[in-house]
Amino acid sequence: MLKVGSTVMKDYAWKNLLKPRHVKKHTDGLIHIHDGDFLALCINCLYIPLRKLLDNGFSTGHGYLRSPTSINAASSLTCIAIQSSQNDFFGGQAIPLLDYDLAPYVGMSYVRNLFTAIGDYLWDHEDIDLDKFTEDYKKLCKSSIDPYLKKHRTIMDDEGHTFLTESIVKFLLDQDIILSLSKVYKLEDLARRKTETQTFQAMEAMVHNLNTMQSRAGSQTPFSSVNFGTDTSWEGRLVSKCTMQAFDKGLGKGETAIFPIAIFRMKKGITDKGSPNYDLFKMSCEVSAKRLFPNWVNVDAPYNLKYYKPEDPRTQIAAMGATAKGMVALTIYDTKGEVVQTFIDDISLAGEVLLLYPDVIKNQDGSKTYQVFDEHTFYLELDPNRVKIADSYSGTRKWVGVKKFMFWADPHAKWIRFTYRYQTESETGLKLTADFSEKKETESPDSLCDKEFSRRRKNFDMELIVTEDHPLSVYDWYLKKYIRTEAEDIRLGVQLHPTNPNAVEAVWVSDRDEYHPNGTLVGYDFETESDHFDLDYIVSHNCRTRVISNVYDPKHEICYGRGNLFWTTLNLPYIALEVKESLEKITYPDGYSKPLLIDAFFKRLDQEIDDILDFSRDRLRIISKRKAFNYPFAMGQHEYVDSEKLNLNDSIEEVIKQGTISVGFIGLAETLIALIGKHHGESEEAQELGLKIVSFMRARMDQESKNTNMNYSLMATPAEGCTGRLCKLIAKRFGIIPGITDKKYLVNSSHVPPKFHISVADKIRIEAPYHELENAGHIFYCEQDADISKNPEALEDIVTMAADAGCGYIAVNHPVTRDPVCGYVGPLNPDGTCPRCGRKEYEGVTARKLLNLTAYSPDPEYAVTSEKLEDEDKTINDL
Amino acid sequence: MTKDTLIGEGVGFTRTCRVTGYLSNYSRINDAKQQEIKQRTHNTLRCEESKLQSIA
Repeated sequence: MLKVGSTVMKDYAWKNLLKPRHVKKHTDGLIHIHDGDFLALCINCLYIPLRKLLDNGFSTGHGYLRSPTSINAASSLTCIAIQSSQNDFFGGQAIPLLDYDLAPYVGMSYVRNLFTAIGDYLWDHEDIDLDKFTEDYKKLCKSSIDPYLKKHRTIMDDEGHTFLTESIVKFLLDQDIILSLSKVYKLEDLARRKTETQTFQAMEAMVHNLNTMQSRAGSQTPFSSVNFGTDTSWEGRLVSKCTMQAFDKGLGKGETAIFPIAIFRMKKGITDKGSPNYDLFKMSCEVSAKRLFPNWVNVDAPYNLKYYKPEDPRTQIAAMGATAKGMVALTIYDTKGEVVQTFIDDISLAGEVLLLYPDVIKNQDGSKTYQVFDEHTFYLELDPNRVKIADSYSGTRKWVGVKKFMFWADPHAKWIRFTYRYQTESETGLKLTADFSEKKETESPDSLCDKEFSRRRKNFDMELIVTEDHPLSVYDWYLKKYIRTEAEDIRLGVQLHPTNPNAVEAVWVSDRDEYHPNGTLVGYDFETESDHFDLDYIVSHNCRTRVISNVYDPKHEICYGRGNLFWTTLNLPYIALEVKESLEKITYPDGYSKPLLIDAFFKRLDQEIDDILDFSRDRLRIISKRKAFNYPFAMGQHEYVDSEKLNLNDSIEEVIKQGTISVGFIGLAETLIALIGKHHGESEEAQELGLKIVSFMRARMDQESKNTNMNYSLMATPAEGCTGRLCKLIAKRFGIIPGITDKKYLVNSSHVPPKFHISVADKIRIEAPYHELENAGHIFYCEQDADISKNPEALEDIVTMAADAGCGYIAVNHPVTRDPVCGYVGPLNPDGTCPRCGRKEYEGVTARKLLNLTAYSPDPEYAVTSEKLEDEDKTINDL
Repeated sequence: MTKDTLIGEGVGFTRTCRVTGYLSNYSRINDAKQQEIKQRTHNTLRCEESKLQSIA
């Protein structure tokens, strides 16, 4: 019945809602409109704000679910939230911070277990009224301890433990009960153990539920994913650990759980070697070596890192980079836009000047002095319209708004000192980048800066001291553009980004060493609207800038409560082949040059992106007409950012602007073969062209975001359902072409073809640069054989290598086989037999042998029954 | 003489594999993706081995 409904809805949309040319392009296979049957009804996916739902309680239609007070209840409600949310979306449902969000409820279970243990002890040793004791401690939890946990998330740190101990002492005194603290501490151990068991049961139940519960009127289990791994509290760590233990154990008969998609968050300083959650990262490798899950998301990838705010786990935090000194150029404006102060001096003095103009300080708490961020960090929030800083990143110096000024003094910071030379082209004898050599002399609005910079350029060699994670802009000769790179990765000879575009000069790193200051060195940084600013003749990036990109509403630059609205895939090989065909048959029947083909391809790609964006605008218009009541959970229970502003009859148009609209692509490898005869795994020329194509598409998305003030992004289409369909349609149109249509599928987005022999390191080197460009989603995976299950250290090396190279989302594939007859899970013997029962696939094994196995957990239909055994025991009489 | 009761004749193994980020049982994946998964080649941990395989 659902299939019928789906077909009818798609047909309706095709005939009545979309432009015929878009439908034709989809039918021909030039584009793929994903989830067309839901086109007029709902949007793609959501990062569920679980904490909000659990803290406040929610309704799924009939009745209201109270905020839970234990990890078991919280786990159940998490599944219900995912299931209910799934009904409002056609795509996936993610819990972005499972460990952070469930931690308070682990704490609540612990506190109740502790009170129960105290009550049980007193029941045995004292004459107490256990009913009154229970009633009273529940009241205490509700009035005081639960709110504390909801605010602080943990009760196991020093502050929480003190609070809890004081609460217990007062509670016991109020009850006229005397109990030594040493006894309470002993009972704490009991409560801790019990909580660990309960948390495992809760996470196991969650995994079982999400593999079995039905959503979307029973059509399938929710497409769920959970992220965890970076919460360092005892409670959060327990959630991460127990989730992985549940995956390791498997489902009821040892089956590998396929939902939720388990994703371990990697973050330097939290999960790498020597960090508090390194043991969990190691565990993730061990479990994945057996079960294929978890995958890993790399919070350190530069494009993820810039959205990370230490004060807000929803953004995931980054180490704070900073510079110890360096000249900056600031201007401060009055309310009429007139310059009231120009400041060209060392960054360390900037704070003193800013404090002279309190009305440009826009601290959220209304104060006009430094706000405390953490024990090491202090900052001023500024009005970007009133404070501007010089920024030459674009090639022309501009004034850009400043959002924050910070200073930072961490005694454990690692500093790097660079010496660099600022040279003209004639001095270096080297041709400089096209970016600047082609610039013409222009009248700079801030010629004052240029003059001051030149005047202060006294020494040939200059010095910069920055933290090892401070991002600078350096020239990538391969990509032929400036890219963001952390200081620790900058080596001798690297060209830094000069700030004087009109002078045609270059900046070369001539020396670098670790810098060990006497005492604690203070570091400074700006957060600008552009993500960069000029610092001592070179361009510096902001150390910590924005949250998950949101051009519509920068204050909601988080993933919580947002998601993708829809995406449409461009069939790149189709475009390449059609352009080629056109040149061969129509335009240049006698032959054409490779550059001409590539040029024609880019022109056509540009046109197709125009059209796919036109389609996206149509689809947005259609879905924007839906009302809040069409999404009873997402909007009704205020999952979606700002949905609390909507009445049920309001259109969702404004609210869904928080979401993203994506254009995806498939078959970069086949496209490169069509254009130059080789894919990017086998040719550096192809890799260069591949990056150029994907960069071009990304630039178009960025431009569209700027033009429309909406969040457009580029998706590395995962190529699941459409991979076969699009390949078949290309084959139908262009015939069987070696390397392109001589198979049933198109290669996933920017991946190297799966059958191409390539080492892990090379695959990472080639595929990692695309991840930064594919800002709507991407994945790196490699293939390993069964041996990896016995060697999780090798798997750890692969994941770390991919993360260090800048991959944002990582997985390692290896064979995971299960024999339903004996329940074995793992790699098979080299001869293809089951290591447990010894049978070959499709062959039988004797019931007696199965019963003699030490481990035996078959699927029920293959279990040895007494009837089968009786059959085996029957003697056949010899006639 | 004892009759051997065989269990599992005609029963295949269950293979869990990665579609992209998510997993599925091989038998439930469409034929195009099945072919792609079958063609996935082991990525060696050492570059030299990979080059040798390419040449071979």
